[in-house]
Amino acid sequence: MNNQEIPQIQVELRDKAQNLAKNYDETSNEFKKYNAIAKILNESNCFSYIPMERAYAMLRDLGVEEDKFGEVYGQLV
Amino acid sequence: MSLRSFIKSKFAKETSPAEAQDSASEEQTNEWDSLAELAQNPEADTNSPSYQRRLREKGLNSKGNSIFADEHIVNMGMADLEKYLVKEDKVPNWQEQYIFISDEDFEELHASPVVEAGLMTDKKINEETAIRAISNGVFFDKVQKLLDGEIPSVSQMTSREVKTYDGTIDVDTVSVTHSCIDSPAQLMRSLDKLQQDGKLEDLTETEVKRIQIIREATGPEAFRNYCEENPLTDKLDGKDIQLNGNDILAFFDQSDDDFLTALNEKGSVEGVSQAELAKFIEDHSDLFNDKFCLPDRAREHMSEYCRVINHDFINKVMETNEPLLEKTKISPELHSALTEGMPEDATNLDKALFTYIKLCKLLSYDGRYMAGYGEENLGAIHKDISYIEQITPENNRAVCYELTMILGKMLNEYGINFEVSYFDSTGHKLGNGEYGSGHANLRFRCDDMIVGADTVKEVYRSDLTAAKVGAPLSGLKLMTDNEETRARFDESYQKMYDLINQQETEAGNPEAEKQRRISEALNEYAESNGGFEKISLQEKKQTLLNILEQNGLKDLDVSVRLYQLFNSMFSKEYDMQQANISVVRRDIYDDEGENVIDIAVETVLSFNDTSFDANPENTEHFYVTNKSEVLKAESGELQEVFDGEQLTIVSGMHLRPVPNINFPSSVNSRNA
Repeated sequence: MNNQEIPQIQVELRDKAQNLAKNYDETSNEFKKYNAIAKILNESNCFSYIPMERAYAMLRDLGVEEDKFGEVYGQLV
Repeated sequence: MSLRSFIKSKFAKETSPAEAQDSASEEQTNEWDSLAELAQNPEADTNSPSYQRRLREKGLNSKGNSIFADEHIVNMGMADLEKYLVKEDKVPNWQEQYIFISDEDFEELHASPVVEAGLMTDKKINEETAIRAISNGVFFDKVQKLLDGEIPSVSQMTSREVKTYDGTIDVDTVSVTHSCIDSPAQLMRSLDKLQQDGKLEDLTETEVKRIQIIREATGPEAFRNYCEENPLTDKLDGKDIQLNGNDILAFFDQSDDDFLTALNEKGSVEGVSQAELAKFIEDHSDLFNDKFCLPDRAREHMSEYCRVINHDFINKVMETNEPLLEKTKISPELHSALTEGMPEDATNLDKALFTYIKLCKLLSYDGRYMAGYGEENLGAIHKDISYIEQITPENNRAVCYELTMILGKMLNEYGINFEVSYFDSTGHKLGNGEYGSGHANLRFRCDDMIVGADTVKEVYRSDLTAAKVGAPLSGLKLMTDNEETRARFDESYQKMYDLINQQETEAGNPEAEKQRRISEALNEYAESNGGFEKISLQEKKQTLLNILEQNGLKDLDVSVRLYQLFNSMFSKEYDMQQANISVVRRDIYDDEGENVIDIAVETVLSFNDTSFDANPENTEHFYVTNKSEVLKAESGELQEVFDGEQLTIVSGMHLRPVPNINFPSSVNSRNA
């Protein structure tokens, strides 16, 4: 995936998900979670196809502050 | 002397059913006084089933009043029935079929619980009716006529109904809606159930005899005799079939193990396939279920057979009679694109599904037509069958008429039969629909499958959109619940869809592959996540408005993009009562303001914290232009522009009008 096709904030979140995944054993649930988030964020325009609740859950998992959810989501979609 | 003994000695006369019936009115006169006196006896158990049955025997309801309507009501009712029913010749032996009951009795009958006695759901009998069938001579007389096949059902009519007749009787339904017993077998099962439940204790000899008469008339022996004299016939997929009912009974009345073996080894009655036998049974269910009480084992096996063996396709779409088939010409470019990459060993079903998916990938919906611009400008194009030949992968805008006929033409080429149907904006089939009217789709038949195909079932979430991003398609509908058939269909569908997506990826179009990756990753994420927190309506609304106001939607077609975004943000938890998106058409005029030169398809977002219906004063509207500008609009203001026809709502096919706005009857509801 070419990083230029996705917004910078999405790239940053994807990288964060990849780094978080590295902290866990590959068989663990946490690894699967962050790895799945990284895979989703590696795709351009991905937020057009996923329910808002799941998008917010990913932001929460990646440590984005709750009061920034709307702003970040707006940039991602 | 106990009450039961008293009742028994008083009324249990050894009379034949006919005698009991003949003497019913006389007994009513002679015995009523003593019965009434008995009812006054503080020791009398007037609620006991046997006491109540004695009342019914005398033609009295639980309050001691007559079951039957007065004579003048009967005369009026008969006159009405003669006037409105007989002339249509739809209710045979109507004079024999009806019992006229009092209004009070009508209430009592309706309050009586249904007897849960059999497998059927639509011909149940309530307790009171079942009891009258054996306790009251007038009712039993009708039951005997039903058993003899003289009348189709025992029906009752109240004096209230007779008085309100105004000459608008629906002759097709009146016989059904008034019937209280239309299945002898169900009556027998109901009586057996009442006996099991202890509700038919202390039967008189007359009642016992009547039950015996019903049992003998509905039992296996009666079935055998009937079948000896009446061969059963049916027409299945053009073939005339004749079977002996006893052969059918022998096949289904096997032990469970033998039946299971037969089922698995394609067993059937000689001369017909499993599907044909299942359809045959279904077509004669009145005989097997309603007229006779077959052994439980045979009936259960029949039911299982019809459930397991797919027979939903029989007698459907047996040939193609599409009058426009010859006039439908597909351009060589489109034909080549639709068939390119189709496997050489594809089955007919594979071919049909491959072509449907390719059609959705290649063509796009002409949104301007749906928005109402089509009538005067595009109608001439999209309602002209000859335009189909101009449609190519490059010139790819089409509406349902062309999409349906292109698919039909291709199916015909593969030797697959199909039928086109046209529907109005509410989904009702247009009896005399023709090309260019309402909404069009088709169904086709592949071997043992009937498949509905509708590329634009929902315009804004149609398969034309879904296929392009590799999402699941919703416009293909297999017309059976049979699991084995569905599994074969799903396998073919998935195989063709995966093949086409793979071919696209290999050809350098990665969009479909990307969608597949996102979908897989989302599933993995859902599995590793404990749940998703709900987001409030207010927060969603504000987020959407912020996105529109701060960033805008960078898309050529804002309304489509906004519709997608709205649906990803507002899931089903906020139903139509709290959040809504409507699509509207705005005409764009020339500089002189006289002629419409184009249209804009725009949207209205509406929100309500509680409910559009309950608190319309709390509804907020936001008009979103095709440039992604957001304009807050009051209900009154919107009402004015809609009334002035400066805006026209686009409705139908899952697009909803703006809540809390009244629309004129000329609301645009073009569905193609």
